[in-house]
Amino acid sequence: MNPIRKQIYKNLLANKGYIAVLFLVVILTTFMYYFVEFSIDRNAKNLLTYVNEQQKEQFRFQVRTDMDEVQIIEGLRHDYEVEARSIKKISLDNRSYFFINRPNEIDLPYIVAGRLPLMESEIALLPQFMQSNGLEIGQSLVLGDRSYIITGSFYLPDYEVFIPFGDIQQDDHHATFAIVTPKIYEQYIGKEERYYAGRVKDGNHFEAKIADLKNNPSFSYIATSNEINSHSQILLGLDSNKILAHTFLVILGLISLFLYYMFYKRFMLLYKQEFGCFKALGYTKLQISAILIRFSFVISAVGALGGLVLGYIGSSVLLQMYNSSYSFPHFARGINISSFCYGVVIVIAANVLITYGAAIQFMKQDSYTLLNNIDKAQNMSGAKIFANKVANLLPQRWRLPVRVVLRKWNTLFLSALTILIVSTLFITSYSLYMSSSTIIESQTTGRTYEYDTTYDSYQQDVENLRTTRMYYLHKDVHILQDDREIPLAMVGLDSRGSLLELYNLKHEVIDLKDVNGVVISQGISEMYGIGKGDNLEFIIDREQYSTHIAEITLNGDMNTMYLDKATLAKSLGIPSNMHSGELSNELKSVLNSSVVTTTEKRAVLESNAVSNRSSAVINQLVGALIGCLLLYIVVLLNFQDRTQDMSILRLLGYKPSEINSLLVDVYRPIFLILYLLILPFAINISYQIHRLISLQTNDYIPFSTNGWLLLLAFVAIMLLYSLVVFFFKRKTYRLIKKGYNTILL
Amino acid sequence: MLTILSVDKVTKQFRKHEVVLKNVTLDIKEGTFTAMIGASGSGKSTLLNIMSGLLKPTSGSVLYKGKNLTMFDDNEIANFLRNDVGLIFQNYYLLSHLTVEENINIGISNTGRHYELNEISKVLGIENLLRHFPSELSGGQQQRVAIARAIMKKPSILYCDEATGALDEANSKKVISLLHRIRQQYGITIIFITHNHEIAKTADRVITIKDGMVYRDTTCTNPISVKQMSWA
Repeated sequence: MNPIRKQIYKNLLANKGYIAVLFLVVILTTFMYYFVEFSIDRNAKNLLTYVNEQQKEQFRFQVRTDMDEVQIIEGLRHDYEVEARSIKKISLDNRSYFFINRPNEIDLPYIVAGRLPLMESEIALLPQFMQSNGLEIGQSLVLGDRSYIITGSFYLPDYEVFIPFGDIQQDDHHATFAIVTPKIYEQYIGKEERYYAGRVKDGNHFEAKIADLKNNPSFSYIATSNEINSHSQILLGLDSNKILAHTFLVILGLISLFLYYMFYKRFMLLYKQEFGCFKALGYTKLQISAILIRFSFVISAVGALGGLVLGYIGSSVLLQMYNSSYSFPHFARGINISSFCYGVVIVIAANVLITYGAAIQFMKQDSYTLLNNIDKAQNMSGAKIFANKVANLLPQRWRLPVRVVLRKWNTLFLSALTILIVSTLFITSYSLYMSSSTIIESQTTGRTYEYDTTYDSYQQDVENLRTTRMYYLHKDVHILQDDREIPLAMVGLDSRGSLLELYNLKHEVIDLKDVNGVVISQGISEMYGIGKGDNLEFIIDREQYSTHIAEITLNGDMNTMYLDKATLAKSLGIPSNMHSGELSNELKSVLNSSVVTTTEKRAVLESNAVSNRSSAVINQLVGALIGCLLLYIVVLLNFQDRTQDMSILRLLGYKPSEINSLLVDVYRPIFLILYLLILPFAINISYQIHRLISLQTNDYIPFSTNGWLLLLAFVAIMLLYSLVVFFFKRKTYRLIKKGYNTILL
Repeated sequence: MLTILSVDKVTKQFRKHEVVLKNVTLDIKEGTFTAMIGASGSGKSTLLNIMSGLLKPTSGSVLYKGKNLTMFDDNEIANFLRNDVGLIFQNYYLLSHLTVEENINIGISNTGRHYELNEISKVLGIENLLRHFPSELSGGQQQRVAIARAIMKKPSILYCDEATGALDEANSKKVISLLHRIRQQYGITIIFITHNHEIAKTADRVITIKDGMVYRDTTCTNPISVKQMSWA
């Protein structure tokens, strides 16, 4: 057995370039999988432990003001644990402090460092705020006329993302939760949000008990964990990353299998006579195939383990991103046994199996056929006939290169795949990068107000202030789609105001007075596939309504529908001269109101932009890497197949540059055609990726592209191709310099 | 007759103690059919490669029309192969993705000087095969295409290395007959390597190579015709 193993291994190692690619593609596959997976498995477990230990709420609700709150709460205590929560927003020195009442049963604060306050002059804050503002435990903090000593930092399990109840998302530098003693909390006067946090008492009939709550008419607001923006984000993030990891594994794994299959098929064709000789000497096909399988096992095993190690190291990048995005103390790296099996065992097994398949299929041929190098495919296949027909239409100079390219379906397929992957990633990357500025622009266009004030109760419009204020009504609604209830906001704008002008997709101003139906934001339209002219079912206060989508606005708030205030007031059964919020350029400090400035809003948008830009960069790097790898294979396969032709042309007196243009650099025109054919698919896939991410994160990421970008994507592909071809042109020179009679000796 | 090619004290050593050619000196006259015979490993193919510019000798020189081939750089060798020389091998070496017509045309010289395809294909009896691919042809047909490609550019010299080695008797005779006809019709100088003595008998001159040296150099005053060849 040893002699033929030695012979086969020597032949295998003569294809170093291809072997290197097989090795690299396995590393890339497992690296991309573990890069994500290492940041998922242990954290999913840690999250579950954290949720239980900190008694995280499973739902929250508010009781209707016309109901007996005490009685309702008492009635719930049989099946549920319930605790009152309140948050007071105090704005001081360009910072927002969200004081919370100290929970005792549910949503217990996790102490990151130090302790919670015991004395009136003590305060505890979020660690991100402290780090961002250079604060430490033991330092003093002056808020207005009070001075505190910082005693500790904490996380709140129900606020993985800093979106205080009844407010917008805050950024860590300008805002923080704060815990003080109950007495000091009561002394603060500010906009207060009150609600109840709850948990189901025992795990039995959990779904039924939650359904009971949802149907309870006593609540003006009820939301379960997965409906609350401030929590379940980590779980959502981990789940979507798990899908991402498996997607990488499947796609790159399939590419890897394809490359393995192609390699062994070509390798055995190249050494056909030798394999015939082994068979003629009495070695069975299984014995011969076992050598190839062992080789595949070694490359795959080393590659998979290498990818695992690199993935472990690389996952620290993702963990860093998680740490900066979420308030969770237990982010750690780790994988389950199943993840190890998927990324290592299955990858190795799949590569070994495909090698076995390719080898056994080839070795089925009898020794005579192999020894005499008989090519059974003598007849012209459909592909070859097509290739010839196309080539015959072209000038003589192009016929050889075009036939060379069109006759090899596998390299053509690989070229198409390369173009699809690289262009999709490029377009996705650009769009992700631009999405933040697109969102920022859409959230500032048509807005000439600085303050957005919302009230706990309805207020009367002041007629002579309509020029300086724009009144609105706000109502939380649920739209119905495919048996799902999707929470959105409905805003009735006073069309006599002009501080907010909505534009349609043609950049024309929408006059809500003339609108028959509602105007939805572009985010709602794209995420849920709702278009102009569609009918929409929605629920307000458990009453179902139907309306018509009159327009789509490109500068509305993300999850918001708009209509005229008077129309909404009529639906709500309130006078048309009432409002629940106003837009203005004057700060009005009123009790029981909450003010959000456009500066605060912009700060949050810009901090989100960082995450999108990071993803964009990762996309581009991955795209370039995969593109280079696959393009290398395409050109390598072509180069290897054409070595004899190169020698013949050299014997005919062709110079290396002429040989390169005829045989090596043949894909340029084909790439242009493939790019034009594949581009619509790449754009569509990229659009769907955006849509899926938006739905998964419940955060609209707009898709954008333009002609220049598409041209740039093509230029990027051709640059990658040129880079790869450059190395092969040098190989041609070296091959030719070896001697004219490389095919003779 | 003018001397077209002059080999002067050519020696070729591949590795230490492996001297394949030893001080070979000979002249080739224009328009002649010269056969080089010798046993396997005698050095005849190596000598042919040096004479055609494919290989550089360890010492000595090869003059083609007065120009020293051994001093040519890569570009000059390429031009020489492209414009002045035709090569025919035992294994034909046709480009599998080109039709017969395209394989022939790819042999056209840089200068654009060439015979007419119709004429050449008729002479070689391949006028009905122009749209076919090499994989669709027999060995004899493929070799005729290779000959057409080699002479299309109007070369001064045609080098044939065991051109009939892969052919049966009938096809071999056809090819030899064609080569003689081409020489007479176009005045091309032919150097033909073979181990077949019957083929050598049809040549104007037979050079026997043995152990890397010219063992015998015989001018044939009465070469036999192809019909007279008897295959062993």
